[in-house]
Amino acid sequence: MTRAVLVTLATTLAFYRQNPLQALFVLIGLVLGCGLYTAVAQINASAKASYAEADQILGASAQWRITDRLSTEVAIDDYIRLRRAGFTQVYPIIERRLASADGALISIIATDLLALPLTTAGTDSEGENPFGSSGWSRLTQSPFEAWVPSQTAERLGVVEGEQIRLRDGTLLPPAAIRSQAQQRDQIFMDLGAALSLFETDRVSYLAASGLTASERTSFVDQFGDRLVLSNQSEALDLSQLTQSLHTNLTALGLLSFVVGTFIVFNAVNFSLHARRETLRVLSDLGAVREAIVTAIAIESLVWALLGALLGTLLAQPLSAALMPAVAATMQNIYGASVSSLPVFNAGLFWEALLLALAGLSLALVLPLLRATSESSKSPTTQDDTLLTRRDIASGAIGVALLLLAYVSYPVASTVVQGFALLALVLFAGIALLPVIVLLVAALGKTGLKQHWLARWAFADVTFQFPHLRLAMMALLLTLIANIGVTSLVGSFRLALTDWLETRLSADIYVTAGVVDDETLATEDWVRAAHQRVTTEMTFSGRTMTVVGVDVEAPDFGPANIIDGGPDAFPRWSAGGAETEGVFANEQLRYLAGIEVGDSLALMTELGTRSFEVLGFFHDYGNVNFALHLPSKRFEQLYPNAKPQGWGIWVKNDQQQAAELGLSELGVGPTQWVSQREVLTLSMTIFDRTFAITRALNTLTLMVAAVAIFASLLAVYQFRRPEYALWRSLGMGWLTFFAISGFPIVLMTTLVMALALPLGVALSWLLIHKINVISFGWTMPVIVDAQPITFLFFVVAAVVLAAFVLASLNQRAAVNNALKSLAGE
Amino acid sequence: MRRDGSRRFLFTSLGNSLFTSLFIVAGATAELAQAQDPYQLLRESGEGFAQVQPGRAFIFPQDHYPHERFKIEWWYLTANLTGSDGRDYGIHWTLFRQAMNAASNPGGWQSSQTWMAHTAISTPLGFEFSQRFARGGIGQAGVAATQQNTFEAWMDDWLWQSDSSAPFPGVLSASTDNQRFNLTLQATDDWVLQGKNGFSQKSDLGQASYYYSQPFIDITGTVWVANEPIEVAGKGWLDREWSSQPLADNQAGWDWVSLHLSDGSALMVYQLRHDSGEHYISGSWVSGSGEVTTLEADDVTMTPQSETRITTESSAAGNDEGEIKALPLEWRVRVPKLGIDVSVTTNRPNSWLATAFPYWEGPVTVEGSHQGAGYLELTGY
Amino acid sequence: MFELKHIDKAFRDREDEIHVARDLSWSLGAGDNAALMGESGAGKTTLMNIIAGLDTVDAGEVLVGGEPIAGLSQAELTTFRRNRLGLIFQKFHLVPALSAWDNAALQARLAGAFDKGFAAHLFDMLGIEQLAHRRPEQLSGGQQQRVAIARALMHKPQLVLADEPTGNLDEATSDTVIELLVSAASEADATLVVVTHSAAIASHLSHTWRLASGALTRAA
Repeated sequence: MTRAVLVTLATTLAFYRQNPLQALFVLIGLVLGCGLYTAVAQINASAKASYAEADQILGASAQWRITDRLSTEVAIDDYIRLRRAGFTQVYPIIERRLASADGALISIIATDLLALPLTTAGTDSEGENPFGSSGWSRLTQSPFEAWVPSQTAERLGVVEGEQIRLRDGTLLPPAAIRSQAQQRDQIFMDLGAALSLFETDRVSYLAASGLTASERTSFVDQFGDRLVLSNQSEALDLSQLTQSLHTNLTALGLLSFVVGTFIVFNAVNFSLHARRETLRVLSDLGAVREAIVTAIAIESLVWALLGALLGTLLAQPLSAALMPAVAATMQNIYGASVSSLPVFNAGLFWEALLLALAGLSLALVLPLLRATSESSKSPTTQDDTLLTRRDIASGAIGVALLLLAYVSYPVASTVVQGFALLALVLFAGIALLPVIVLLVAALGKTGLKQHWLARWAFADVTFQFPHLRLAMMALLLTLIANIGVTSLVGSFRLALTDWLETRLSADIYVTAGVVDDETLATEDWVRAAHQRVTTEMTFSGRTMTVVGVDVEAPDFGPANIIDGGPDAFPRWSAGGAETEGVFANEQLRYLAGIEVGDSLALMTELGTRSFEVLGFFHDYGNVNFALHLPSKRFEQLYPNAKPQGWGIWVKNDQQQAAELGLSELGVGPTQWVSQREVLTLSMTIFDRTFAITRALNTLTLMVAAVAIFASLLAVYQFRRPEYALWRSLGMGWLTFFAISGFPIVLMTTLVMALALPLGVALSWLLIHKINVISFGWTMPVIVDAQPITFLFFVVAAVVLAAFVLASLNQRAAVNNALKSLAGE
Repeated sequence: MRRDGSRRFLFTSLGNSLFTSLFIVAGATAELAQAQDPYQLLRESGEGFAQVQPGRAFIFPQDHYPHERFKIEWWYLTANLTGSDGRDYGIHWTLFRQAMNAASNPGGWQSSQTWMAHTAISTPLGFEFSQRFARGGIGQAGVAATQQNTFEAWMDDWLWQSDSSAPFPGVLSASTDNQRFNLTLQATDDWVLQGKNGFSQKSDLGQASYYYSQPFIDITGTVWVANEPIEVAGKGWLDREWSSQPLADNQAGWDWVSLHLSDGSALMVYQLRHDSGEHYISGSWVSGSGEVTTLEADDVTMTPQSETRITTESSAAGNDEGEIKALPLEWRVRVPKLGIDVSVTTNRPNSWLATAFPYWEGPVTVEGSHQGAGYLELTGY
Repeated sequence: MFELKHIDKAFRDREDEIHVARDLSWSLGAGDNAALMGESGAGKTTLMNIIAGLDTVDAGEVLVGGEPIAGLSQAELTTFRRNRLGLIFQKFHLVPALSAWDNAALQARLAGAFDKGFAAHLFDMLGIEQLAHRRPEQLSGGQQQRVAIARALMHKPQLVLADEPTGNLDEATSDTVIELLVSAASEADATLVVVTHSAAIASHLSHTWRLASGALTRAA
């Protein structure tokens, strides 16, 4: 038996020696599938590992956070007071998110390393001494050092000793390429350096490792009037918050794997087909069935191992390349600091191997089943039936899936259910594709009866389709996902831009407490100046910010209200009737189920009051609830609330006067920002955020292209004798390529035509289902023709390239086949 | 791989800078070769810093405060106390100051000064220590006169607060993880200038420090052992020392005792161990009435009697991780011209401070020609 | 119609050099027909390929219709095959996507010589007029080969080469098909060469030639 298996294996494997290209395709499919899947899984795992360390800062526990009751920052003197009072677990943190002069995003974290209660492993390299003999003074004394993790340095293009220039012209200390535990994508510097750089005597917050109950009591007794202690582990759970992004990534990873499986399926299918004769001969020569099956099983195992191994290897540079974009997404959407260096995870190799085996089994079992059923069945006598029963069944399934998606749309209420809906749409597309292609081919054949060449070309579609079916399905999947995500991103970008333009309509924003009403009133460059006041409370498990908004402020008006009656804004502006009128952000509507006309009972400093929701407003990117009250009324209800900074609208052409005026008022350059810059920065952040989506889209498109290329090669090899016949009948090359190329052109066109509505449906689902479920806000779906046209153009080019590549050898091969045509 | 990277990091970061740089060697290669020895800092050339010269006049209370132009300085208190329960308690509290470089100190968050503090409490239940670090200039740690011109030495909430501009009379409170103490410190005797009028030679190569002591501190107070207050009383010893290069390249460490003898006198002996085995020994004897006798190499011997194996706790320095150490915890100290011939032993062998600069420091009992108690310090093992 | 002048053709098969033709000369006139017989591996198919311009000779000259084909380009050879040659294969080689009618018309349409009347006549004559709309997989072997014969004759070629045209057919069908082939070729005035190893098939043709060891001898 063993010998039989070995002989069989040797014989069947000889096939790959003669057809190295087929071997390559089996491998490419497996490697790409496993590689993309593993890369994405690795990214997810790494990000989640970072969340698990979210209560760690630079290797120290940061379970507790101390903030100022009245200010957004904590005075450094308060920190020293805490230390002198014996709170030695407390350490100061400055965190800033800034933009460099060339628009790159920079996160800065600063602390006093001497004060850090270290708990976990320290520096980047064990053996290296983080400070030389003069290391500590280099870090803590002018000109200081900025420790840039190597992957961040790479992203920013910074070399050792270089000073990063910020957008406002400030230079960071000279870079040292190194990092601390959990430094992630942040630039570290000494707290003293940061205080000096930002010209401040306040820090972002104080962090503390474990505090006992009595220490907490003692803290509240001594400092409770000014400082607030909060437990970070009770803060919004990051892994929950980011679930949708991870599901999204996983879905894309699986999509890549499915597309990879298509390639494997094609290649294995072909290699089995090509070896049918060999297998038959072996069986005739007495190789028992078990030996053949074992040989094929061994071959599959070898393929799977090879694929998983190379895939895992491929995943390393891939995830390393994608991780910074994910880290940017995490940081910018969720404020979660994530390392941009993926962590290798050996478990993922086994996962990849399992997937590869599953994919191979699928690819093996179906062709084998088909092969056995073929031999037993009588030759089909399908009269001119347009479609086989299988095609009709598949079409019916497609329609059923779409119906199911339609019916379950209103019911889906979790992220997973939302993604199940997406899957329904995708699978419906796959199921519908064969019917559509075959119907169009039949229609073309009938409609163009008079032109024999056209009739032939359409007829040939029917003959090529079975071989290209899987590749076309892969392309369809990719295209639907691409269109869906492109529309989502495009819609989001437009909505966000619109919203930001209103929200950031003030020209200048001045930090709280620097200027006051009277001063601003005397400045003649000021067109309008408004200040928001906020207070925070908890509503339905989430933080809710109540904001006092000036009714005359240009950044909030009737145009911003969704679903408010015509008198909503005037009613709101008037304020303070029996019940308080408020506008709520959409999050309150979608995540807490509040509708217009509903009332909320909330604590105010005047006791519990009833608030009626008069309408909603968009509040993109906010993970919390928000209510807007007119500021006059707000001041009565919350007299002790925290004033925010000033939004100042500058008179036309007075920007320079404004900047001069501000500095005359003693407003330091770090105490005000130009809103233009904030807007630009926001959009930069946005584009970074979706970089990962774009990258994955491109990758799946490439995998689909490989699938098409592989399938075309297989088709041509299958049909070589027939092609030789065409030539033997005297067909010119032009006609030859026209007829052999037409099916791929038609199929691609049909795939694009089918992908368009399904892709739009997908983006509708993403925006109106997934987005609402996970973030609680909506936006109009905008299908922009330009990126889709571009996408189609790319697909056409890619398919054409695959066709040209596959046809490169066609002439010589057909000529060779021609000779043996008669003698075979 | 090291067992505890972060601690190692802490050590290396501080080690080489802080107390540390006390010591570092001149040349980079030498630094590399000796990088594993935290005490290297003490051997570093003090180039650029003020140098210790003989014949300096000490001025009090000024000299109780930091001498920033010197690289390293310490305030070093040990105390042998007896509790109301009749059992022995030992207290050791030290504040170290180090200057990272000889340039003028910009102060504030950019201060060139760094501080390290150790608290160790020895009770019948065991030995516990704690170490802290802070930078100078920000008020977190230091030694300074208050607005009322009283002496204060502190690190976070560890605080030595005096009623006068000198350290005494004062109150010291500090803590370890599970224990703390609050002591009242009284001393009326004159300050003892060690060596030649406070110039304490450490090596024939010229390494030296300024060194003065207060051997007669009367202490009363409370030690809380696992929240149980125990009234204590006894004698303490304060050493003040500063230098820019106290150790010579060929010195591995030192053995040091400070003893209160039954006749009311106080004996301090130290030897700096040379690689050659020819140790540099020195000391002083202060009679009960305050007369100081400086002890030269010919006057005194200090001989280890046995080796005790102890298992050290994993060191914060990381260069020293819970290994078994053989330490000379039993000594014979002889000063023939004073008729002193005593054995010095400890019943608290596990007094190893696994800190950035690991050392053994624990209470000892004196037997022989005299009885008494004191502290033994062993470094460089 | 075609003329082989002193041709040499040999190819290497592993160690052995096999001579298909050694100073071989052969010609057939317009309207002639002949059977070409020989052992397996004697080179019958290679000889056919040489005449069809699919293979080249080592030495000598090949003339078809009085014209040497050695100097023709690939494109010219394609045109030559399309316009002057009809090929019939053992395995029929019909285009599965096309109906019997479209299959038969294929070469004529490519050559721009499709004549609907003549096509109908051929279908009539071959007895497949009822099967015109069927696809190859819906036809029996004999029917498929009749469609292939129609295809080989529909553009009125000067020369029809048939390689074991009945190899895949049973005896009774073989007789019918070969008879139809010979009569259709002669009606179209096409020269016909049929490669066969069956004496029964050969007996339907005017002459029989035997290829052995690179030489061609006329039998009977």
